[in-house]
Amino acid sequence: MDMEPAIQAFATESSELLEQVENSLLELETNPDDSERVNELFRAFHTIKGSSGMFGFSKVESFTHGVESLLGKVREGSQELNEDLISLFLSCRDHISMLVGNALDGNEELEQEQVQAGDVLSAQVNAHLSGSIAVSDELVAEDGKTSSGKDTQSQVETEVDGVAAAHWHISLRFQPDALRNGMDPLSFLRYLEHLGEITGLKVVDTTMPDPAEMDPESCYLGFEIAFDSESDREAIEEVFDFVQDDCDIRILPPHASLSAYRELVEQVPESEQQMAVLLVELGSICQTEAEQLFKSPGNLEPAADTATEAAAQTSVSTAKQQKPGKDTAPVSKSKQSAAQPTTASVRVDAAKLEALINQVGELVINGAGIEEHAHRIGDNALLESMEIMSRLVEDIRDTSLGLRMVQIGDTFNRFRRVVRELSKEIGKQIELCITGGDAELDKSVVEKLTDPLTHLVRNAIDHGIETSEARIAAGKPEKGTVTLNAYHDSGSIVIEISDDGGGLSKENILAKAQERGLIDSAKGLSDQDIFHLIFEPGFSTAEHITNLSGRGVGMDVVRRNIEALRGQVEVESSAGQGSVFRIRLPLTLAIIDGFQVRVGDARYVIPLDMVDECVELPREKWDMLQESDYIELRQQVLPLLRLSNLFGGNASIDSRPDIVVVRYAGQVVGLVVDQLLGEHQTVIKPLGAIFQNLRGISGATILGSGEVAMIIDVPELVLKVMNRGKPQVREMASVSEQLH
Amino acid sequence: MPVKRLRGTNKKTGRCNLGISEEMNIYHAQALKDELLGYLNTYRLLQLDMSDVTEFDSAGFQLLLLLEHAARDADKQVQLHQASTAVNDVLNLYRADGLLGSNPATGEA
Amino acid sequence: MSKTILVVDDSAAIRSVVGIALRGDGYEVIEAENGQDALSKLNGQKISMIICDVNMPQMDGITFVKEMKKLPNYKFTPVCMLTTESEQGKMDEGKAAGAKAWIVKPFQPPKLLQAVKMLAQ
Repeated sequence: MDMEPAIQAFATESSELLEQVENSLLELETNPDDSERVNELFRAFHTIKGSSGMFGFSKVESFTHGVESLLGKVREGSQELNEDLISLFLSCRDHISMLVGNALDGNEELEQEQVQAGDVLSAQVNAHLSGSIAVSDELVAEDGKTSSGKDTQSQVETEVDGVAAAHWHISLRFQPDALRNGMDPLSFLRYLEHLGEITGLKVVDTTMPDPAEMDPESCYLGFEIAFDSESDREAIEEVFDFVQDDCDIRILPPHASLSAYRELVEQVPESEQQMAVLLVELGSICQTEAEQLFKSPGNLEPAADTATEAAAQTSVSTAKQQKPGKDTAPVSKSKQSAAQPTTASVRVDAAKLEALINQVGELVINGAGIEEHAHRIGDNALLESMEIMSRLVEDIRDTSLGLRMVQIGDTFNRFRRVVRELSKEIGKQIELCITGGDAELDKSVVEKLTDPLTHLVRNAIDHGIETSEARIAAGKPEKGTVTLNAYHDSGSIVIEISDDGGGLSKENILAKAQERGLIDSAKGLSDQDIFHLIFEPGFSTAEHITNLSGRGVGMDVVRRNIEALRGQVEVESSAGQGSVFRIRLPLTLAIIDGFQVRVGDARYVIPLDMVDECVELPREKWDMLQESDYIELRQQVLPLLRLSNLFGGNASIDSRPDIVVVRYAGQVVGLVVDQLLGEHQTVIKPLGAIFQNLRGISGATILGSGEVAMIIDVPELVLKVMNRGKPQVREMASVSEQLH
Repeated sequence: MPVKRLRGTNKKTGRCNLGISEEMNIYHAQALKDELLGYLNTYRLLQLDMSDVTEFDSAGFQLLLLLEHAARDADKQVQLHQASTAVNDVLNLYRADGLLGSNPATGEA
Repeated sequence: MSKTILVVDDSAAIRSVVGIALRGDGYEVIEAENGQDALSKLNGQKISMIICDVNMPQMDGITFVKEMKKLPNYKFTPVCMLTTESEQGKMDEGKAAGAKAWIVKPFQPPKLLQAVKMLAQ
């Protein structure tokens, strides 16, 4: 049996649960009365304990067991959930996570320090449990058998005045509700046959009433069974474990004493004669023994045997006792609140989603091809159908892409822990404020965001927020605030990390930059430019470099990570008040609405959500276009960028140039092209490695004609225009990069 | 209807051929009981063709027992003419092969 | 024709283990995450047996059994409950509701298969 998929499921489930646990604990710190959360927590540990046990991960199971118990006390109200306890639970959560990882890796042994850490935590947990519950020792499933009589029974099986029959005799009287409870004798008897051979069976239906009163759903069946088997009593008893309530069970061993049979006969509702006949027919007792049975009722027990016989022949239903409840803690009286927020969701294999997106992409491309044909043929009916089809394909496209969107709130929430621990570590009081958590972005983007975000948050805590003293001296509240915010803005998602700390010091930055030879002078640098210097490699203004934010290698890595996602970082800061780091990322990566244009012989696609408008210049203005880098548009200055200059290709002098006005980060730029070709669903195909450093192009797409069109990287171009005429710090970097 | 009247049923001779279809289990036990006893009331000889019975549990078995008792009490006859594998398996296990004079011939299970 | 077993447990890992064990033994398996989900799966198909966890969100195991007992086509289906050590108190409640078979977690798959054979032969 290949349990690999089950182990996979366990791995996924545990990791999700542990994440949920962390979030819940942090939530509870601010809202300790949220009983819903406590229930959630309990259930999470409960599940981890249960499923780890299934796979034999005993270290996980036993450790989690204690935590679960303690949480049980919290749930029932006998243990208060304070900050210390939450910290303890958080540490336990981490330990469990380590144990699970270990178990999945197949490591039998833990490192010394891991063992010690676990012991320390367990001791703390037990301290809270005040040692009254010994449950942590009792984990193995038991079937509730009395172990007391076991040894004596095996000795007693051979009776002094035992009958000749060498088989077991089983007497069953099913109770009326048996069938209603799903306990069909058929099942049990068929199972019994696995343990041996039924050499004889008699159905006893004496309890069946007259037809009028007979309830067809009630059970009136009893059985007397001669059973040949090598199994021991325990195994045979086990067969009827589940019907103890719905059946009177009596099991007589081979060579059971006559008195045992006597007692059997007395206990069953049928008459002695009836039973005697049955027993003889089954061969459980022979004729002679039967006569003995009725000759001396009650005189058959030799005194010496009484005690041992009692152990041997006691009806199974009374011999089995419930295991005495070791767990004396009262079960929580509060009903499990069923008011869980219901979000019906489906777990989808990431690979399948990927395949779906690809298929939709192909669909879009092919659709475009058909559309071109349709235009060529010019059949109206066909064109109409094509339009409808296109719209349907667009819908599918949007829905599929939507499947990959996740809320950024999940990522944001993880930072609660980071902030909590960090602020403790460096002794500052810091609150994390989260807004816009329901902004959605592509799954793959979220994963790559965690690192840069972490660094920025740590940065804000470490360098941004001042010490308590400094803040009080400055008349600020002692508690500093770090805010995570997210929102959508014209085709991008914006993530802001802000703090109300001391802000960035322009003087310090300039000084450092000059010191490191990054710039010659401060001339011509805007505030933005100055702030952006901190992203240069090898830069750090921190007086002392703490463990937390690294040794000045942090910020440039952050920028690189963001750029790898085709995003940008912006900085805003005011001295004494705080800073805002703003990350802008493209929303979707796979399929976008594009606007097709022609430049020279080549075709390009501009992402539609960044297109503000298209301008067709009147003839008079053409010449102006040739000379100037700007035109006037509705009393505003519009900077221009000639794509034919940028990308090469033949500039067609005759054709009337058009301008596509694009907007990014609040800045507009007019892209000059040769021809506007209209909207086009664009499937973004990644460019090969050769083209990675190509500025201005973010990908390629295949047109309906089979031709390849480049997709314009609007943010890149807008920034390029904005940097025109400025000290070429970044430009130098990009050129040298391109040369490599 | 789990019970069908079959050919050969004749009010005059008092013989009724019945076919029981598919499920003769606890879920249909009440309906079956009423129907079968009803037929037993009207006729003197019931011949059951259970070759189409796919599900047969203890409740179904009890019904056969019931018919046997009822027939005996009313001095009538019920015969199990044909039995499916499902039915025979139970009758074998319960060592009740002779129940209702059942014929070991197996119909379709 | 193979028998179908409905497995109800909010833990995907447990559903997975049980599913593998049962399918390996030739049973068809339908999975549900909680009592509510399980009820929706009882929609006309033949179920030979139900394996059901006690502690689940949305609708717990015992409530599920009570609801299941109201369904004319399923009320006599054998049910085997899965419980943990600390839930022994629930057993009485469950038995009163008609759930007579109980297995304590954690259990080894063979133990479960044994229970299935006892109830759904």
